[in-house]
Amino acid sequence: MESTEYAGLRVLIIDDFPNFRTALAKNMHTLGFRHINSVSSGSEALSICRKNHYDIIFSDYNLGNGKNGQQLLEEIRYLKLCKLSDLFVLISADTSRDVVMASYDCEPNDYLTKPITGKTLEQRIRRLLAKRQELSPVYTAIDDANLDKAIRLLEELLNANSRYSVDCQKLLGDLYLQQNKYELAEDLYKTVLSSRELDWAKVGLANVELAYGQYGIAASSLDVIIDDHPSYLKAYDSLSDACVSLGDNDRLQKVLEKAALASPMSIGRQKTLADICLVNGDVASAIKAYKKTIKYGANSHYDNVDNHLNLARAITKIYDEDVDSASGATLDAIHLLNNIDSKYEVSDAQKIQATLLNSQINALNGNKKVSNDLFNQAQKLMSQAEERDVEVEVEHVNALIASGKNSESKDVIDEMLIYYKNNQPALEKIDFLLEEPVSIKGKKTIGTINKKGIDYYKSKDFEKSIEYFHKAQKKYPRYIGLKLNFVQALISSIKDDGYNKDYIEKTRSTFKVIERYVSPKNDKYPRYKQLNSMFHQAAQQAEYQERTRINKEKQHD
Amino acid sequence: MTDKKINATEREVDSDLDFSFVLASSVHDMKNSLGMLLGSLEEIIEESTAESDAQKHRFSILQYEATRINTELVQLLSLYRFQHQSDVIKIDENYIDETIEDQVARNDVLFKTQNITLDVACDPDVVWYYDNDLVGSVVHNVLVNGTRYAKNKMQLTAVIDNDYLVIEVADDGDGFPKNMIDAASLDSDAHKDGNSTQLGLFFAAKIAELHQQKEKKGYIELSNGGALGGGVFRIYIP
Repeated sequence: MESTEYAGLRVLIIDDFPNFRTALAKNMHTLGFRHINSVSSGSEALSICRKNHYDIIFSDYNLGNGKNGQQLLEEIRYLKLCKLSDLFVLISADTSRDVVMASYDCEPNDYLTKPITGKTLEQRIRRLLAKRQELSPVYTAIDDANLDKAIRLLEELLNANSRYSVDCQKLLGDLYLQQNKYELAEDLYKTVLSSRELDWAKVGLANVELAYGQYGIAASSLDVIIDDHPSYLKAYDSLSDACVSLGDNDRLQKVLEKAALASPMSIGRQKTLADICLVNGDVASAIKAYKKTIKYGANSHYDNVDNHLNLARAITKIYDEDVDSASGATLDAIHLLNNIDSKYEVSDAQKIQATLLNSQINALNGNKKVSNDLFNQAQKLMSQAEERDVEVEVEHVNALIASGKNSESKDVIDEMLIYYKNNQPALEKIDFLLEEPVSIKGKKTIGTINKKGIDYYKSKDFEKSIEYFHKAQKKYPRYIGLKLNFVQALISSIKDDGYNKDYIEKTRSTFKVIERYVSPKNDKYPRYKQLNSMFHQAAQQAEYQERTRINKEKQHD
Repeated sequence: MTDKKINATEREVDSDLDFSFVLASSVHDMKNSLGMLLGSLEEIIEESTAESDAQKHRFSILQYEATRINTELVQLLSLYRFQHQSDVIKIDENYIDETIEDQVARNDVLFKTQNITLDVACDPDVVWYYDNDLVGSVVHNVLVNGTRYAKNKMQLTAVIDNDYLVIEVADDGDGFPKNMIDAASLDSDAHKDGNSTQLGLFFAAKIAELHQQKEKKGYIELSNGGALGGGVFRIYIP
């Protein structure tokens, strides 16, 4: 049973139960291991991993407060505290491993279920180390960034019918793609698929299609894989890539929502979802996703200032949608922004953004004095900054608008448009401030949605029309023309299709936002006035009809 | 508007049906507690040698019954998942000997306390396509059950035959009663009306059936006789 080759290997055991640590350490000692350390928490594990190198790490899934075993694994891999050839074994009391574990970002080398018998441990160790021994030259080559060598070694192993052929194929496919050897990757996946329809090979083939630029084809094959196996997360990641290449942000959001549902604990996916929701103007979803990112990402490398700033940014955007529901959400944001530098090391740009966001929220909540003080602080910091930063400038404009300095904000925007005129990514960010987008991408996006909305309106399909304008005005909240189109469709529906409480409320709240931006001097003011009186008439009539209907029903009863 | 009303009624119906979810969650907890209990039990058995045959016998009963409850709970949970999740099965390429070795190791102590020798025959280089967890749990159940009926020998073999993986567990006991042999089919009357006495068989048949390759479906088979003269269980995976 005891093996001398184990004596030189270093082992770390992490479990919050002392009994289990002792039992496992005893078992490992019996097997011949001589360098065994035990700790009781994820943070202790991280600090000991910074000092020592371990060949094998055993971690329980449930580690009490703080990180769980899976989060620890992700942190260790992210911080590169171990090499590819080092083994991480996750232990849990739960037999249904996919319930707990498959929904994360990276996979451990092996899972063990408690109770662990001595015999099981002996077998697993033997198998894991045998595999490590055969594949370690490949791992070393990858760790050394010598991918061509890794490819050659893997091809040799496959030719020699290695016991680990499947692992070799999976790894080799990835490396072929990374090294742009698309034809070789295609051959490999097709060979695998010719004997069995395996998910990993199907996704691999879709990745080849992506590499060839066949985004649409790749997306539809990935859709099929996800329909069959909604928990196969790699398919979502590739499909997200396809949507990014197709420039289809709405579809991307849907894919990421589904992925987040299948893997609620994957912080990386949650954060990507939050970011895209914010871009799409789906403020409510963005807030939800950022809150989850912050909650689950606590004490991980995802725990950073930007998530908090983006959450605050999303909260300020509620004012572009529904003024009344906004104030409830802002208290948290203010607290967060006031305390941001006590918890994090913030850069100058982040500090300015936080101050500007804080100033906006206070202005919108009617705290003029606080808002002004914060704004002055921010301006002082901006004047000291060495480089221009478009994100800071966007919040600068937002803060001006929030405190009602509309003409001043226009001057700043005009200057920005000149300065950034050849910078499309910056223009795409400025789009969100404008009456009408100016970036190529922004113009294209809004043109298509607006046209669809108008077409449906003309054919009197108000429901569809409302849907499109709703989406469009969320994307570009300052585009007042779109908001007016949106309310016009709502009003027409109330007039033609009858009472609809939801539509009446939506119209009211949208008018409140329009009123923030449209003063009597604005050229949109006459249209706003006209629609507003149309609305009051239509709403009154619809409400009257609804009351009559209800009274009739009561009489019948 | 009407949409909202429908949603509300749906939710009300849901809360009535939630009992199966509550049940599943508590089964899950029970199973985990039992897992801890089994772990401690195994440690006690390993640490303290039995002082008499009677004590040895009591140890083995304790362990067998606890294992049995544990496996039944696992089966219940899996059946719940089969019903409520769309993708319960993860087919991958596996080494058959590793799947079997895992289950044999898991029951190492049980075989010792029951005084049964198990012979395993399996080519270490054969790979096949199946869900390692699910097939592993079938093998585990069959082994645990076998220890109850075997006198002192069991045999586990795995071969590829006619494009099926066939895993066979045979014992030297008295063999299966006829009603059990009939219960190996999912269509059997034994599974109607939620009759749970053959839960293990139902579970195994269900897992076999979840494995499909082109037009072929997996199945199980029970018979008597075989190499050791007792009961023979076979699972066929295409």
